[in-house]
Amino acid sequence: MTAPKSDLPQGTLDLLILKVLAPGPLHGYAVAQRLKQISREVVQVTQGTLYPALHRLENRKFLAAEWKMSDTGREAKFYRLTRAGRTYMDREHASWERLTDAIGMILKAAAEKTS
Amino acid sequence: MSWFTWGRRPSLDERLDAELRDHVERQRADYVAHGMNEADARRQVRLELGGLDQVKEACRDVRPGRWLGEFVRDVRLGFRGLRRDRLFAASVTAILALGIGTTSTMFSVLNAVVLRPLPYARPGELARISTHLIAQDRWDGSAMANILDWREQSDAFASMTFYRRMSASVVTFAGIDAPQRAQEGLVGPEFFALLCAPTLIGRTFSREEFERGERVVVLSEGLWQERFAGSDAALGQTLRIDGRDHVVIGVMPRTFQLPTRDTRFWRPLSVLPLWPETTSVRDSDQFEVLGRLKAGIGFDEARAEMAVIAARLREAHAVNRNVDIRIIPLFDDVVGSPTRRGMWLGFAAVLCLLVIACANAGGLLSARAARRRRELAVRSALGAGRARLVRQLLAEGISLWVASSVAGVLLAYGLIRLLLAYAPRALPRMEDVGLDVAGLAVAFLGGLVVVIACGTFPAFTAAKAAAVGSRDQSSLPRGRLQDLLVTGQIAGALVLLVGALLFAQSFIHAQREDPGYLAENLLIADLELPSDHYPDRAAVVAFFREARNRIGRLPGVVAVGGITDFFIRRNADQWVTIEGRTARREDGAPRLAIEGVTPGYFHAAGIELLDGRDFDERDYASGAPGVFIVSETLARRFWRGERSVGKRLVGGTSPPENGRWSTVVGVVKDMRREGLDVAPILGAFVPAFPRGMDMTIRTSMGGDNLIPAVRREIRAIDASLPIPHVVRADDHLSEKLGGRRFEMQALSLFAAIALLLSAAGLYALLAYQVALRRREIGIRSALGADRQAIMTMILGKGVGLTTVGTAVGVVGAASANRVTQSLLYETPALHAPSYAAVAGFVLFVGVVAAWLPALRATRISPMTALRED
Repeated sequence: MTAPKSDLPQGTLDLLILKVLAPGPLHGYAVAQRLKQISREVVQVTQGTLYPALHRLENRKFLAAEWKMSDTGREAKFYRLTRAGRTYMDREHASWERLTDAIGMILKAAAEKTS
Repeated sequence: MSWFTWGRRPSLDERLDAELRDHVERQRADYVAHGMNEADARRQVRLELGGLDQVKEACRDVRPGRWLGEFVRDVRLGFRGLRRDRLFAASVTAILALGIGTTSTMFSVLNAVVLRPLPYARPGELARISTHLIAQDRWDGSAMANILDWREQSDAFASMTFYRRMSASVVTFAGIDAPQRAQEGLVGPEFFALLCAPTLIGRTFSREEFERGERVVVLSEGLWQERFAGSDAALGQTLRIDGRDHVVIGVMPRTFQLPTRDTRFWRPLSVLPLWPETTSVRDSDQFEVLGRLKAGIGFDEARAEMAVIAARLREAHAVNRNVDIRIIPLFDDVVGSPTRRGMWLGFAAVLCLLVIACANAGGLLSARAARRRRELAVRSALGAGRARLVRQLLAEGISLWVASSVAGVLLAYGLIRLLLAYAPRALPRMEDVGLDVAGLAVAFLGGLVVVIACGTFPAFTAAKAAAVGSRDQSSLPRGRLQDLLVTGQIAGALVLLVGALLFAQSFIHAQREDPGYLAENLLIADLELPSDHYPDRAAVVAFFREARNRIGRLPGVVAVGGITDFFIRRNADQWVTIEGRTARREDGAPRLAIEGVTPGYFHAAGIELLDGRDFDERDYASGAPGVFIVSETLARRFWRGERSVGKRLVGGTSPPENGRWSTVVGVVKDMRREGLDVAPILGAFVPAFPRGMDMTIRTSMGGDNLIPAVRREIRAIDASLPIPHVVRADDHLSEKLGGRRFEMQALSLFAAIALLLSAAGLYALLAYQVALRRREIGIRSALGADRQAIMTMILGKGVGLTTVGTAVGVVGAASANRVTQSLLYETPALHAPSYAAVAGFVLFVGVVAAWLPALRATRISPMTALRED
């Protein structure tokens, strides 16, 4: 199994995907592109991780999927954030912030001590 | 695409495919738009993608219900894998099916005969109550006056009922075209109510009908089918029994088998002319008693209470001085303890076989798993996780389970049919045996346990080894599990072999017993001359003479005689008083079977006269002085060290008032008439022409072809007589040993299979290990180990395993000796020579099984073995 090149902490990919989809529906490729753009190429998510994650979120009803005509003239699968997905995203976001704050504080405290 | 997911979600995989293709297409288009040329863009996309199939697989993995579809796929894969290795699959299936089939067969039998409660309401409350003769320490029938007192005084029983001793309840009734003899139940008024047994149709008789002594009859289902073709119209019809018409009032179902399995109909005891007098008799053994305990009362409480009552009756009535009361669960009476022990022993034997089969199959499974290390390692390298591998191996095991369970059930079905056809008649409740739910459950569960036990462990080790890496074959675990499995098989086989040998000896000992008469070429025909046609002795004598002349003239008939009851089917015990001794009945006067014999009986039956003379014409003359011929054991018991001829005794419990003693004129050999493995009874014979008689017909050879002629001749004299049963004495004896023969054959078969399996197991293990150790052995021989050393190494391993297995088996077999002993006839359960012989034989088989792989090991050439890797 191919691993993501950057070390995305466990569970963060889900949160990122939900954030990317928050403004409006996108298809898989667009999600990948947007992730790359936002993170300025730091986070590169391969298809081997992206699509299983999308499908998993869909199965958990955080995303809804719909096949729609796209700009290319073919049908593409568009993912949309559901209500449950939004709640989940907010919760995850909050807990992520708490976690990073805590870690940041610990690191800061540690740095002050050593210096 | 698996058919399973396809069936539920037709387009899931297509959709997935489309989605990913869309992604790839957009990416490529992007690259082209950024100035890459078409070919490079394609390459770049493919590189980023890694593997389309892996991505797809990862997506499928997150689908809900995924595991079920995967499981089905694994099982199918398992089946496919097995199809590639047919010999392996067939062996494992056959071995497991053998274990499962025999186990579920034996369990079905055990369940029907021993485990299932009696088919009556609240069967745990039912008790059999009988008289215990204290001086003789013997169980006996009871006297009606005592029974009525018991019932009156006891508080522990909700109700009590009685029936006439079965040995006295054979009666003639009108068959379809000729009179027949049958076992009947002559029962008390509460008999059916106590057992809470519903009728099939109609009703049973009421207390009022019993009091009035009405001639009514309840039929068994069998007789009802036979006589009335199972029609409701049977109710109200009449059946002629013992010369009187009886009204049919009901039919009992087949499952109702009291007092015996062979009971064909039931009548109120009060139809007997002597019934009213019987109720005041205290010294008789005519009746048997059943009781139903009150709810919540245990057997011990009932025993304590009845002991007090028995003591009271001993005080009150002198004839009861020797009488105590015995109470046992009715179940123990129906299913005797030898039967139960035999059944459990049989089940233990089958379990032993099952364990051997499992160990054998387990050995094959783990050897295969080890052989497939490489394949598993490759799959692991290709991305299959360890759990996935274990699952696959398990799936394969489950395929084997399904196959062998199905085969095992088929085998059990066949075995049960075979058993019903050939099982000895003596086994109770055999007719209820069928492959039941419990038996099937045992089969399936047994198989599952086997697969989990034998399949999982190798799967785990194999998966672990695969994860470690396959090429490294030298670091294989030395297969301690496989060693254990083989040792276990040998131990089990040894136990079964010892059992088979002991039971075979026991059977041979029983069969070699001297019956005391010449059982070959001897026909026994039962006759019952009804008193209305043959009112006096003269009529009986005339009939016997006529029959003897007619039958004696048949070609092939050598001599004809007659005796009251050749096979001692009825109870003929009588009290006797010996001249000069004063033992009173209540203190345990001697009881012996006194039977009347016709002129020529001893000659016809081929019984050797040891002392004195045979009866002659004078003894049969009316008014002649009484004479006895006694059996050897009786003579020895009564007149130890003295010559018994000339001694005097008389029937009854007191010396004759008129001083007419009977004199012993001869001594004959003991006879084993109940069966060769039943000790001869104390027998005495008097000259008589019994109304009920077994004719003994000596023929010059065989005699089967004479049976119809004998029947014809008897019916030619008097067509109103029931058709006699005619049997060969040797057939009868052989049938009586049927149980022992059956045990011996079954055990021998199991033992043979077990030995074969364990020898094959040992061979396979060593052959496999030799194959695995080719390189090591090659190196050894390259380093100078000679053939002898290599041979010793492999052979030593085989002999070592066999020795350990043998030792464990000997201990196991010996520890079961108490149970075994009770089932053996004249054979010690710890018969050292048998143990030694079996141990020696098993060791020999072990050496033979180890020989071939050892020989193959010596042929390994160092060069080829080293070059292979």
